[in-house]
Amino acid sequence: MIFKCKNCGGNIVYDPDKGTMCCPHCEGIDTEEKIVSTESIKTCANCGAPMDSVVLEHTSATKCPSCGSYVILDERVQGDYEPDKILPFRISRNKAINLLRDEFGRRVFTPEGFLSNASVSKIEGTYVPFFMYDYDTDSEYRGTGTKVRSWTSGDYEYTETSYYDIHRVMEADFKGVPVDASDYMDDQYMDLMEPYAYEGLEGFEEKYMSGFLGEKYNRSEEELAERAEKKVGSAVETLVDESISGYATVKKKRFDVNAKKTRVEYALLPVWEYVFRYHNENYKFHVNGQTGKVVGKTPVSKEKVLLYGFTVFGITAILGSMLRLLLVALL
Amino acid sequence: MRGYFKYFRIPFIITAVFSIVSVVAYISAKNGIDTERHNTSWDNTLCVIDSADKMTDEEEQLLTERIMEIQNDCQVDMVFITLYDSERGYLDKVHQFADAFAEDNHLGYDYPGGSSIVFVDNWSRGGDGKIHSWISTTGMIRERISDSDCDEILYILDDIPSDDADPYYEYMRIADALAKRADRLRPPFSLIVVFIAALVIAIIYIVFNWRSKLGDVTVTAGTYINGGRGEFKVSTDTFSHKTVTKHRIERSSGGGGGGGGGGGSHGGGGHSR
Repeated sequence: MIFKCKNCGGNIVYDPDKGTMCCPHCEGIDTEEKIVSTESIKTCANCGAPMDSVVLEHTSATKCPSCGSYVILDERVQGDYEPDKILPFRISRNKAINLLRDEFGRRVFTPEGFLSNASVSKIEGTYVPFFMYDYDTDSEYRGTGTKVRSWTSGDYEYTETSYYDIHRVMEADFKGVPVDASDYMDDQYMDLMEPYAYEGLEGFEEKYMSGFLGEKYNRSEEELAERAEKKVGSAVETLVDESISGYATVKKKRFDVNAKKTRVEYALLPVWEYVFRYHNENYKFHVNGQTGKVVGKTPVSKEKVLLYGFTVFGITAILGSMLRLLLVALL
Repeated sequence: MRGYFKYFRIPFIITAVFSIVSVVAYISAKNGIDTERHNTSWDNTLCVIDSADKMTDEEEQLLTERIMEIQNDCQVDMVFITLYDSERGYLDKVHQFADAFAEDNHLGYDYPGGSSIVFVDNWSRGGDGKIHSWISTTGMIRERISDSDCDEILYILDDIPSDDADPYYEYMRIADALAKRADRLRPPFSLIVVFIAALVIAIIYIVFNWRSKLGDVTVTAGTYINGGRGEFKVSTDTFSHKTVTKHRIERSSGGGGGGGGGGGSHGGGGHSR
């Protein structure tokens, strides 16, 4: 499927700044017309060119390498693959680039060209598939805490250790614990992208995907539930731990967590991805397409480290030597 | 490279300006030193008094020439004295002799009582069976030669093999060591210190700028819970029991401290061998 402008026939895309469909050719607003493809999903719905190189196993939205139109693959956003929710992009391409520059622009040892216009303009917005799990949990903790008091009397020091039985029973209902369902996206990066503001979630509409790349879920919600349970278990443990204070030592005897999955929703969440290739290695940077949070580790140019490090050494050595002369003159 | 020069432009400018100021100040200070001796109360050509007759005439002459040179360069009156005096067979007696020599003879390059160094080596073994030596410093020279410097320099005397040996070479080494420390244009710290400091700063700079983390965790335990926190149905801390232990405090017996010494215009250090 492709969205075309009724006015000019160009490929109309979703504009995060305006929050509407906007034609980049004639600047028409909300002039979209959905054209459903009757061809194979590996054929561009606009120009008919083959898209084998960009339509991979889980691709649900892509950019035609021939005409540059953003194409949504019908069968990968419908039926079993139709998302329950979508969080439309709120951060535009230019804002994402500026956020990257704000975050990494002052890093001294990044290689030449790291944030150059030519390089950073390759940034792409992607809708990443997530499952959002609801869990009702109840947990029970039992442990022993000690409080220690010391005092001195005569030639003796006394130490009194008081023992307490700690008992906690906590209930917590988790809503929308996100787990990314993309093998391509690194779990560590996606966890760091959190949290998203769920108030912005919308019912799924294909138009939000026009102008961006996308994937359908790579794994089922059952396969990914274990990660969600781990997240929930870790959060419960932290909350219980935080409720225990004032002790010199705490020894856990028992800690049971029962987590009952109550609901799962399939959602597409927005992420900008910038890949910088340096010394045959891909360095990935992600910008949360809703909140603007930036995640990524910059590459280090060893040549720059040597050059800058040696310069700092030289400047400091010269200043130190000159200080010696100045002190000789003054003292 | 444009980025490199842009990044370092302010440090480069500061370094250049500071270097110019320092070099100009150093040259001005070097040219502006008043080298003329003002003290007429003491004849500073009398540099070596070998009462114990430990050196040849030629050695005395050579040592005198070296000390004269040091006197001019460092602007200090300097006298080397050897004794064979059993009445001064203790370190404090040699110390008193050296201080009194400087005072009684009005030593001082800039004025009587000014910068002077008196080295006394009493070859008569005292009641403790040792040969005692002292370097007495007076005036401004004390800012350049500390008492610990004097102590350290006098260790050179341990290289004299026997009571009958000629101490000329050791005395020359002592003169050189004193000259090195008494140099008016001696920097307050060595170049090695500068290079080590520069190396440490460069390493800190590299480590600080190299560090890079993936991102901050901005999710808390309560992020996905309604209301941000769990509901505690039970939250009790019940006292169970207590134990009391005691142990004897080991008290250490402390000694008293010593008192301080008196004041005075002399510095220096001594040595016994």
